[in-house]
Amino acid sequence: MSVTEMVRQRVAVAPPAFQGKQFPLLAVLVFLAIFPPLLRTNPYDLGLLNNALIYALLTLGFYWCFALAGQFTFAVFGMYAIGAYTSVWFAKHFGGFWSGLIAAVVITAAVGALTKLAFARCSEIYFAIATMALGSLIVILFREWTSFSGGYEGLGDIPLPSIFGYELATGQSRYYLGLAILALLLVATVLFFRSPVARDLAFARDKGPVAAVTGLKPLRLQLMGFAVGSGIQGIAGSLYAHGAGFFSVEAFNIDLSLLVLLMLLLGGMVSMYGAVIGAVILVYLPEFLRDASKYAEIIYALAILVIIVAFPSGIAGLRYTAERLVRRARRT
Amino acid sequence: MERFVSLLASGIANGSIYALVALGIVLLQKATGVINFAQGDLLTLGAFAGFWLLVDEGLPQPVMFALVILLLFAAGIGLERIGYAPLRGRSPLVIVISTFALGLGIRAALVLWQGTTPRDLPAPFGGTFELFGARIPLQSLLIVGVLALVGVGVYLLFQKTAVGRQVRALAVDRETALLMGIKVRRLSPLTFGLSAALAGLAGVLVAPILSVSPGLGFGLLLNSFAAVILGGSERLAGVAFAAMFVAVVQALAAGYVSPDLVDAYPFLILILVLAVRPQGLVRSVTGVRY
Repeated sequence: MSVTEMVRQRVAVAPPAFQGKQFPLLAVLVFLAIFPPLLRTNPYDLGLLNNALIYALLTLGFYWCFALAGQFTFAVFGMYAIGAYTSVWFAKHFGGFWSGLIAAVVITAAVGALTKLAFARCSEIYFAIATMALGSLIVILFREWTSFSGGYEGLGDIPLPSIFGYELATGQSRYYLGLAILALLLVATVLFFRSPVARDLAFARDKGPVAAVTGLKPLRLQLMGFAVGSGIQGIAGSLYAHGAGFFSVEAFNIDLSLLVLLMLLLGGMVSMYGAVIGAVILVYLPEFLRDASKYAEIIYALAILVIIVAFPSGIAGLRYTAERLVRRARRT
Repeated sequence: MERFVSLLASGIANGSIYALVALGIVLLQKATGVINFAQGDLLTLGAFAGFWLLVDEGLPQPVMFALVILLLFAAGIGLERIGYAPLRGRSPLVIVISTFALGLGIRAALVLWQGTTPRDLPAPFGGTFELFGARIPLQSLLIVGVLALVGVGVYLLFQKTAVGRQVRALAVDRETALLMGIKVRRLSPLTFGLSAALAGLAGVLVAPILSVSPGLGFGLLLNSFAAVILGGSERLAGVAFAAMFVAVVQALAAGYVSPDLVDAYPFLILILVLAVRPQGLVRSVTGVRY
């Protein structure tokens, strides 16, 4: 192999978003996802499917914040709560589900942007602590502001999602709504990867000061990524609230952030599909391990440790882990 | 006046607990650079271990204190072996996630072992004394006394011993310290053990005041973080005073503003400090005096 060929091979590798056939792959996945609710129609299974979708959205939002914008956040449960409560309030006061959904996205994205802005000077660990406090504070405020949130009593009479006046009263129809939203967001993420902004963001995330020297605005880029991620978490909250029909402040606690973290670590941070894979696995895992439900949290804790020690790139990145092991084996 | 004094006293007692946890966090951070999110759960472990030794096994108080400290020292070393040793050299965030997972593991194990019903640990000195008409439990006095003792002990450890000198050197310039031959592999289990022992001590001390449940320490963790951040982690005394400040503000605000938001005040302080002055209120010493 000539030198120029070697150089071309190393330099001209397209970014992962251009490798493979992203849109056909997505189309096949969405097509396959159409069938489960037709095969399993009892309410329990539909509930699980909807849960998997909501967690997939939540984890996708976390993926945007953590993997793309490079900001680890514990405030996922706070954003989820904001999404749920604002969506219900707007849906009740301003014409239905869609206004609620849009308000949830706008407000959570704004809160996310403000969070990143307020804690811009913190190191990533202090940022994690700050978001932990912020999430807890948000939930405490909702807990005490009972006239708005219902507190522990909960909120009821939540309008169902509807499309062109047709109410989505069944779990199936809500599943398809969620699936459509998730698919749209995944398409948007692929488009984002193929845009120059993705490269700018990666540069700003990994080499902030250098990126600033080249004329990029690292803070603005990260702010954008973090706001998009928070907005997606808000969508998840909105879908949860309108699907559940009733919920109270107990639905939101820090364990949710932990679960989402585990989902992303398990699925793998190297790909946006990691978020979906992790969410689906962890929603269904307790179903297969009913006898061991007592040990669920210990299993989760061990899983996090094993993953970060042995499989840092998760399931979607098993290929990279394998390659690394092969390389290491060859070297010795 | 009566009300004010009793609020202040409870604030100072809580502040001493936050300070003990915060000192453990800072000690570990100085020596290894790790911020330990399991510190709160180690406190819970200490409280439950104390309950087990004192009530179930019927051991006398001083023996219980000594055994809990030893047990937690061992637990700290275990934590280092499982959660830190395999990850040495990875990014700080990965280690934070690992300590968080270990904390979750401890919490879950405690639920399995002791269940979720809250328990009360008998105090070594029951009873109260009167100050300006306010009744203050003797336990508060004990807590403050222990904090003072621990403070002096940690100070002597840092300033007068070889280990302390090595830890300070690591905190000032990690790479140079490593090049000078400081054996961080031997130091890090030791500091993990020491900081866990501090958390365990705090757990045994706080248990008679608050009821002991598996979520106890995790709830206190953020309050101690508020102290660490406010104090700036540069001087240990600064962290201790910051802990007092956080707890006294919390107690007074709960007493005079609104008791419903009692758990929110430290979070507010934490968020305000991180947003306005992320480097802490106490100006950090950037230069080193030789």
